[in-house]
Amino acid sequence: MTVLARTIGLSKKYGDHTAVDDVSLEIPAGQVLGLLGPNGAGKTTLINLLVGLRRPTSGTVEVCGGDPRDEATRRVIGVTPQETALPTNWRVKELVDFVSSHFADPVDRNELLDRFGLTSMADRQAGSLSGGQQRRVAVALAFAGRPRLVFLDEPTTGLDVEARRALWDGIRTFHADGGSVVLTSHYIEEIEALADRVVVVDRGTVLADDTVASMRDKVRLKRITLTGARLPHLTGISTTECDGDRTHLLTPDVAGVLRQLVGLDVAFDDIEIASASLEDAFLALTGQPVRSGR
Amino acid sequence: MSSLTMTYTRRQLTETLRTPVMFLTVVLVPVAVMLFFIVPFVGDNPSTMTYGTATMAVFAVMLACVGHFSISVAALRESAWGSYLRTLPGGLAPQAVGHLLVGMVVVAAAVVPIIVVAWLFTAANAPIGRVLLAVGALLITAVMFTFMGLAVGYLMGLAGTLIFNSVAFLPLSVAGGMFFDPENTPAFSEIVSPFIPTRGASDLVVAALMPYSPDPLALFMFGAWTVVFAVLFVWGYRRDEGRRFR
Repeated sequence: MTVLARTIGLSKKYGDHTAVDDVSLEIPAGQVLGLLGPNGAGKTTLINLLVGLRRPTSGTVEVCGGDPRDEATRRVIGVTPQETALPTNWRVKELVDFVSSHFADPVDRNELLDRFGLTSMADRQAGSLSGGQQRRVAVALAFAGRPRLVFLDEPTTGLDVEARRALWDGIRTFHADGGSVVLTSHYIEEIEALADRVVVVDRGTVLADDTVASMRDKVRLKRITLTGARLPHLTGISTTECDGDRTHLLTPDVAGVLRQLVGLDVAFDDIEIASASLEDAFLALTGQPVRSGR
Repeated sequence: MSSLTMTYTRRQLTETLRTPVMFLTVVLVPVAVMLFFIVPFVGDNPSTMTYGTATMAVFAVMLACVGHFSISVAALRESAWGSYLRTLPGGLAPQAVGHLLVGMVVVAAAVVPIIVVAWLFTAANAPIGRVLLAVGALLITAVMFTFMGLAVGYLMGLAGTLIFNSVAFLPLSVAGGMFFDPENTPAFSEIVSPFIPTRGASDLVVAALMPYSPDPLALFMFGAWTVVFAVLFVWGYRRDEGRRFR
């Protein structure tokens, strides 16, 4: 297994605030790693440390065998600018050509634009594109230099379904060709759709590190919320939480639980059944609830 | 020149000309100061006017180099696009050479009007050989002012850089004795000016252009300032992580 990126005891402090706290990770070649966590968890800081935009307070980062700031490293990584950062008066094809000119063997412009569904926008100025289109251009730029490892920070936040699909397709094509991706998201579906491995981050630390298949099993839980007096002992429940007079049951087997409730003649009303949320996944993966009230 | 360097140069030149606030200030202010405050008073006195032309050229180089480099560096450091550029390969060289070439265009645009005004409308005169020598001396001062601009751009944020650009030039020029008649300089200026970088810069150019004996201490301090600003620039560049919030 070739390790493309490695952090050892990595920490980053901003004044008194610790954004990344003693993180040790290894990212093997060919893997799509999803960093999952709430806002402020330290995902972006971790990415910025990996791409060399920030320097660690302590610990080490090594990307493709070198410091992220080394020229040799920059040639093999792909990074996305914030879409709001694109110079507004540059045309899309000019942006692609500009970024490509930094690399020895860039992807053909038309092929790249096509992969991300941008062909019809090649001649438009970045400022004339919608937010979602700019985001796609920004993500496409990360792939221009045929990188081995691409970093995508919240690539699809705020995109409509179609734009998200186009981006996912582009990322999948890259992965199918053997490329590695580090992706942050606060959408479980996105991590599920793209990643092989999920690392759950909160308060700057790694809370869980697992395969997506195993996460999916845990996250296949449904949440049953009901108002009821007293619940008898039920089988097939992963977690029970009480919140005032509402009770939340997390279970992989909704039908079984409902059958028990009815069979045992339990009095309840106002029942809701929902897919597990990010909070539930957090709970399932880490055994602790996501922070709230920040 | 590599194609990447050309790309950066072309882009930076376009950006500079497309939003020409700094560019126009740098080009128009020195020549305006000269037309309104120097030409009407000493325009027909050959030696004073020649001296005035030399110091105004130094003033223009200062505005152009410090203004151009400090603002373009500070703006890029604070922009998300600038952050992105830092992740691309290719090294600092193409961007730096691009900045230098565009900076030279800005310097030329600032200095040429001064030479033209002095030549056409005043009694200033110097043999062509001395003029070329003075242009060479101006390039040396441009190196020092460029380091100064880069140091400012890397050590201050964009807001600080803009403030520096609007308040620093007058004190720097006055303290360096640039606007005084050399025969009739106030006593405080005689004491202070050799330690100010602008004094050494103007002495260097004046001495290249006309018979004048430069202050050795001022020339020494000029060299020292060049090293100080270069060190500050390199230090600022190394510790730079773009914009930081507390």
